[in-house]
Amino acid sequence: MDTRDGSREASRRSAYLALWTLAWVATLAVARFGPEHLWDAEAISWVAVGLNVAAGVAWIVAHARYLRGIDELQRKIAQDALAITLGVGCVAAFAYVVADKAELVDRDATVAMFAILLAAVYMLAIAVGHVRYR
Amino acid sequence: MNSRLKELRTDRGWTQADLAERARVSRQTIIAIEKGKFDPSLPLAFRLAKLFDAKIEDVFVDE
Repeated sequence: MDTRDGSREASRRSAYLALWTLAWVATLAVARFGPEHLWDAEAISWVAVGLNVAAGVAWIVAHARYLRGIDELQRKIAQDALAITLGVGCVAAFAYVVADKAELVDRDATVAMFAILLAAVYMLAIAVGHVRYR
Repeated sequence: MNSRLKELRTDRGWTQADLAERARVSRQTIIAIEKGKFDPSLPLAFRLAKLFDAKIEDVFVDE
């Protein structure tokens, strides 16, 4: 495979990753808000959740393929960012659960807030990684 | 790890982009290796040494 083919393949994998990320977010929103605003039948809610899980699996596969397709420094930056995101996600989620049990927080956290936190931390960590190895 | 990558590259009149293309990595990877901020894997180190017709120990030097 020559460099141009490799670059085209990397772009294709990036596009797939972006597509499946959007698909997962969209199906998550439909599964979350559909029962309140779009339908009443429980069966449709199960279908929406099933579609969300299927999109999530495709997203994971697309991410794994993306990581295999990038070069080793970019993979290191991405893996460091994933590790930081996982750590922040665990710490934030458990801290919230503990604080909620102790009745220290008044407002309920939503799944959307958690997803936004993870996305923000991941993007920030990717940006810091790129600056670090510049 | 220190490397003589920049010296060998400039001797041949290659830009960082030229070397990146030949080594099938991003330009950022070449920059990071030249600055000693990133240690390449063994396969990439061999690939780089081969591009300069050099032994791996002539390109990369343990600090």
